[in-house]
Amino acid sequence: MSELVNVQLIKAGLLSSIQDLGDPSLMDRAVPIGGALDKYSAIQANLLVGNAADCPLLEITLYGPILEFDGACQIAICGADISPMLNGQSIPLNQALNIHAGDRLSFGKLNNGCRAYLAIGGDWLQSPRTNGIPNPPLRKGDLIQLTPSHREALDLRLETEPFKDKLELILFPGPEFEQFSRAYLAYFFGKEWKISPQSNRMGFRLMAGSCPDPGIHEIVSSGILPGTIQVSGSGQAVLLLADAQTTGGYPRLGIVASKQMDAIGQLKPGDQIRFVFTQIGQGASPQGLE
Amino acid sequence: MEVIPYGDQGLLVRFDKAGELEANQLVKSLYQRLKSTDWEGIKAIIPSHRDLLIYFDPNLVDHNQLIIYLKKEKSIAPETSSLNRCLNVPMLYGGAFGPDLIEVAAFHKLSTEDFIALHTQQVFQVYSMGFLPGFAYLGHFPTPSPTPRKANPRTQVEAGSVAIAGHQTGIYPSSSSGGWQIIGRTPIPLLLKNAKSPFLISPDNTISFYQISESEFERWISMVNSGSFRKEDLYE
Repeated sequence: MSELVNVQLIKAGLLSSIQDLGDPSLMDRAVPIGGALDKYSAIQANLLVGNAADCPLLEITLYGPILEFDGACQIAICGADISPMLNGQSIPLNQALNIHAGDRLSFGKLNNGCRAYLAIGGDWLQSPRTNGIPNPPLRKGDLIQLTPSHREALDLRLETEPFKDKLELILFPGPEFEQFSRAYLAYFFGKEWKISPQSNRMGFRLMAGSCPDPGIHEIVSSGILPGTIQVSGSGQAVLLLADAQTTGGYPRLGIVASKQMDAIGQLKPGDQIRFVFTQIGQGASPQGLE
Repeated sequence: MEVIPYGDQGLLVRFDKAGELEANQLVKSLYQRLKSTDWEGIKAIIPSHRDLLIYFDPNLVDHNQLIIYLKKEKSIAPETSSLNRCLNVPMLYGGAFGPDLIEVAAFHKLSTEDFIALHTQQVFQVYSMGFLPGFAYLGHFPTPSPTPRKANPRTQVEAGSVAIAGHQTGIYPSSSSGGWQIIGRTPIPLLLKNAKSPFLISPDNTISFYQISESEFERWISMVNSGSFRKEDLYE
């Protein structure tokens, strides 16, 4: 039996939270699906340290935390490049690394992407949810505790492409698409949108100047999924993410292709997106989209 | 009924032509039946007032097969008996726990007694769940006119607060900000610790309220705190 390793947050960072791949099982009770915003990177990190793909791990946003380990274990960091350092020395992303008792992991300048994923090999005591309800982000002084695994970490370095800060997103029409005014739709698809600083894990607010009237302002509250574009009465568009509520009363202009959600998860405030319209053909299966 | 795609992982089933109550019955009837199929690859079924959102894994679910199933199901009338597992929720009306009761009753030109009677006489349907984990939109509350929300939402509404807005009522499962009018509080926890299902209310319950006194409220609280409260105690 391995001994418990404590990992303490000496500094919390901007937004550090324990995530997994999300849990849709309580969406009918109004619990958001949650989970890593860039699942692909999260899975990579977990697999590198020998964990299952859906193990808990730490999602780190823009400014990283400082973590202190009191025992030996293995880590891997994937996703955004926030200049990770071990005891002040720069360390590589996308490969498993050995940690010793007393080691300090910190982060520096953001070079690429927005969210880094820190996997630690072993069984975590902490989980993303308690009794089905998502836990709040970690704070200074909080502990991550785990029993390090005896599974072998993978001896390889993953090659990855840098994340884009400009994306063209494929958008399926939402249930209220037809009720939007022509003028607003023309504006929406013609515009280069910027991610607002007032964005969080619930959704990206997209910055608009003055815009045409959307033509539809409210609906009877109805189910929503991550990837949905909601538009408020004033024309403010929001791209919903994993922590969004499960129902909402704003008209739904469209839904982004699910395969693009991981890339979306690496966007940061100020990054730009445009939308390209697509439609699932009658009788065509949705997975046929490429 | 119409079935429309919701992106590449969802289908929305709408009952736009039915009246409000009938639509909601149809939604919940379909919710129950679809849930009981344990269809592999269906990740969530989210019922709301007049429609049902199905979230699925397109690698596991044949989109067309699901549409065929849904179109066949539409002809089946809701079995109201199976929908009506009624939770009877004790509630302390007014006072410090229901600061808006007097004002809201006056708004509707009712005495507080008559207003409480109107609230306790209803068997509420769960129209949908949303806003906060475990929060249910309950209707229909037949006040003469819709109840307006508060002009200035409260920054802190305590867990267990029972509130109204429009023709709906609801119980705050956890403390949160909120703009509904607060008429009382239930001693019953809406988030159940260590239970198989962590929430008191499920979309296929119906809910009614009954009035309790302050001393009964205290007795319920000590029962809850001692761990002897069970959800089953609230069923008829």
